Amino acid sequence: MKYKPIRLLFLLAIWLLAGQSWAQSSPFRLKVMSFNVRMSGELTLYSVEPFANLIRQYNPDVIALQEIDYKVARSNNKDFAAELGAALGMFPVFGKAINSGSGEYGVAVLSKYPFTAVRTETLPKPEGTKEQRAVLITEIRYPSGQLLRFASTHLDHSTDAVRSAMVNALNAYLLKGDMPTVLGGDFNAKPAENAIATGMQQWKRICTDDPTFPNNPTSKIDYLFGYPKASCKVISYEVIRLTNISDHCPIVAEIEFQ
Amino acid sequence: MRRKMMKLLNRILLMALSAAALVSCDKGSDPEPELPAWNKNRTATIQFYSRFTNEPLFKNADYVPVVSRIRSSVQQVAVLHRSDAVYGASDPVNPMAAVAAVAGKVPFFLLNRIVGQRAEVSGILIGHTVAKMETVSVSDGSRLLSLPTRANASISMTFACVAFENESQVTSGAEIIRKNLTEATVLVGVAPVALKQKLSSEFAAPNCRLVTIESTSSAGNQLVFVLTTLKWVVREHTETAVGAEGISCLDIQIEAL
Repeated sequence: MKYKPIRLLFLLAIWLLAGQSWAQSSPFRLKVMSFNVRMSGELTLYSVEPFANLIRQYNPDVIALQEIDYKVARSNNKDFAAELGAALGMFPVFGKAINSGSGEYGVAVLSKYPFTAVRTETLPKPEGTKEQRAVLITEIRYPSGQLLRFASTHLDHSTDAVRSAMVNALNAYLLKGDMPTVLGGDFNAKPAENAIATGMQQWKRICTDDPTFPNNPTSKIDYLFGYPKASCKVISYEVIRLTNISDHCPIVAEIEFQ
Repeated sequence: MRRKMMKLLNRILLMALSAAALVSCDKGSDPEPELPAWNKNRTATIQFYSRFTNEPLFKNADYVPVVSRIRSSVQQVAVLHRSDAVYGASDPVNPMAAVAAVAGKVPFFLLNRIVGQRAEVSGILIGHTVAKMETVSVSDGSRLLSLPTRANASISMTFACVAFENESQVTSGAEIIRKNLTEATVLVGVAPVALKQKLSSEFAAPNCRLVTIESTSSAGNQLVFVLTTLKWVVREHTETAVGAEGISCLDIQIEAL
């Protein structure tokens, strides 16, 4: 008789934990995009409007952007991510990879829904690396209360060994727990390379092997991945060819986490 | 037996001394030590833009008065309370991104809640990018944002922000906030004026400073509070009308001692 309150507390704790787990794992659908914008819009004379016009047509919930300038002279000292976020009515965040003149250069994420956390992690720089690279990791709260981990990265244009080391770091940062996670980026790697074929084995490949580079694409180097693999379902996927505003094609997918 | 008692007493004394040495904000009522003269070279300006009515800051897309004031003044941090974003509409709007892009500042967002297709947020603008921003849930519908920045070129500051709407949020959030208060933290929060006493009872303590600032606007029913350890002191605050649409700005001068 005297143990009843403890039993009740135990049952309550199980019920609360089960509820939390359900809230985290209830299915939700989202539209994601990854887009290397070529030196913060070199082909649009650094205007964000052509990018905003294109992105609006696809209406993604969250976008991984690469080759983003923050107050760099070549792109008129603009904050590209904030300007594009303003044009689209989205929440922007920038992640620095390197200093560039008096400004910074790196990746960004735009989201319809607010971030609850953001952090930029530098990626390893083994021998042969041409340039320091980074991953921007965000946590986004959906209106349903669901949390999404969403990351943007741009791997080095050097060797498969360098990119494999970077992928190992990405995995260490991102393959944690069971929070739905999406990683988008320009991996500068073809599907058969070790960095992709072996390094990304634990991820669900959201994209196909259709080429994404250059504007009229012949080479596959841009990717979208989901995690946990078993709970990530691809509803649709598209390579947006011939935009004429970048040397990369944006890739967009609708996915569902079960 | 006596030796054991002495050992026990020594341990208790040590534990008490250790607890007193902790930086976190514990309750108490010791008087504040006398302050040194104001050193303006160690002073940061935090601007807090609000209607002080817990209504959306921008009732239309006229950001010009706020942007002009941000651009024409010096501040380390600008908070735009209730700079809500609307998504899902045919023309989604994110005022903070728009203000940041024009003002040349980097925007961060403290989500208070999502109502329909409106994300109620406090926007925080600083003058540089950061590698990390985090928020923790302090109570139902209230989060604490922390952002590493600087009070000046040589003084680090962790800027923190929180918004309370009711007493129960303060009650359940106070302990988490006290635990997250470090020597570098400058926490600027907003709450209904009616919670002034509650804030004082939760945060007034010998090793932290709480300053509450009420708007001079007759329509205002919200107050701003600044919570720090004794390493910081609010030296001055002034309120200015920004434009003609009911927006005010509090300029808070806070010195790192």
